[in-house]
Amino acid sequence: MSQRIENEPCFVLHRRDFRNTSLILEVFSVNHGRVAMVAKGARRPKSRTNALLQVFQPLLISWTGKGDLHTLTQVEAAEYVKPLAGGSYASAYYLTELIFRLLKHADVHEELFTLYAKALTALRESETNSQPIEVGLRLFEKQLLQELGYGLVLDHDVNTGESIDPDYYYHYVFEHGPVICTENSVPNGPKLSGRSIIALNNETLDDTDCLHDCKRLMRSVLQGYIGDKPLQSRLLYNHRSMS
Amino acid sequence: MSHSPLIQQLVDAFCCLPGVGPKSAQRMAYHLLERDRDGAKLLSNALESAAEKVGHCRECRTFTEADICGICDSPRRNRSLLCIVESPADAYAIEQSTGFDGLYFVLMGHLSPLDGIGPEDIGLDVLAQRLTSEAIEELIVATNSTVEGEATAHFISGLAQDNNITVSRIAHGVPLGGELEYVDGQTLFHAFSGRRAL
Repeated sequence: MSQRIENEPCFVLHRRDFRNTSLILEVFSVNHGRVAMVAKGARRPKSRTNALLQVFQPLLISWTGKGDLHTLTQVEAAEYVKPLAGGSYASAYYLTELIFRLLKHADVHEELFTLYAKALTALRESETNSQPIEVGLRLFEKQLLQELGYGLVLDHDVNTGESIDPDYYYHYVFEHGPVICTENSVPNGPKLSGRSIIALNNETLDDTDCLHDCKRLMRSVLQGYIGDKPLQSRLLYNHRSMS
Repeated sequence: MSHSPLIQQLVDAFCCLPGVGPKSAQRMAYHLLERDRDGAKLLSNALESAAEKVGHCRECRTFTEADICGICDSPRRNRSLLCIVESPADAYAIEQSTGFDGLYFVLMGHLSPLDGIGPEDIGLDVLAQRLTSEAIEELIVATNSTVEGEATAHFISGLAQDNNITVSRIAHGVPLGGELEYVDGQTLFHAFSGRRAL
């Protein structure tokens, strides 16, 4: 059945050119999850929608249609936001790519929408914000997994059931949880300190060792869900540090 | 009525042009056949030699059939200024209207991580090399005013800063003859935050 949605809060996750003057958009909406739609005539020289239909911009979008590909009918800015700070484009693309790769069409995740909106705001403010960008990214990844039903076990050893001890090391087994390292345990998943696991659980990532551990943990877990095709937005970081 | 195979082939070939559908393709095909056979031969020769010989300039990556394009080769250009654009058409537009006398660097696209277009796909490795090996004093980043263009601009400014080169970004704002009432909000926002002293 054809449906008509009016003024739905949305973000554009991805846009690509379609025919001569149109766009195909992948939109992340608050009540309808990820939706694909065509914006007809958006690329005409006099079109006003082209300027609005940009990634990272909070929008109110109306659309109609049935099936997999809908038709955009109206778009306006939900609010005018300042552009991202220079160094945070790679991070904003990274968040967007995570959602793009992990979220299926019509999966509704209101909480995730709020999380994404907040994370983007934090990136916009990152020049004045005291919290480093990296901390925000790790917490976003943790909450993203939680929201999608892949939540990490961070409070106990899954083999023994005992609480995590800050002074021991653990292997994080994919889709299972932390298992304490002993002398003869076979490495199975990334190794990290109990202290880092507790810090991630409490969302208090304030020292570099913890951040480093959590980065390795998240990278390995996310790869399990995303698959072998690498995240392209990481290239923006790697290249930068190489040059 | 269907076209004979050769005419159909010609119509289909015209359809590869942007903005040309079957109907206009048919019109073009019939026009050439009916009225302008010489024009058709000229077109086919021009297309063939261009498709065969035009490559990219070794320095600025724009289209040219020579090893180095006319602008990069010209002794009259200011070699310490480098303007970065997304497409040859952008370079042409700037060339026509601004009196810019430096050199260009044409990216042939912009960074777009979700489409798998990374820094090397738009020649930023070549640019990084030029920044270290040549005496460039200022980079003018004239990528499009889209998020992708902006992300590309910031990435390039990182490269330039590594080499202690001044970077500037072209201004965004109200178009000439534009009435504020009708300018879209985001543009007005940029115009306001990028205001300058009089």
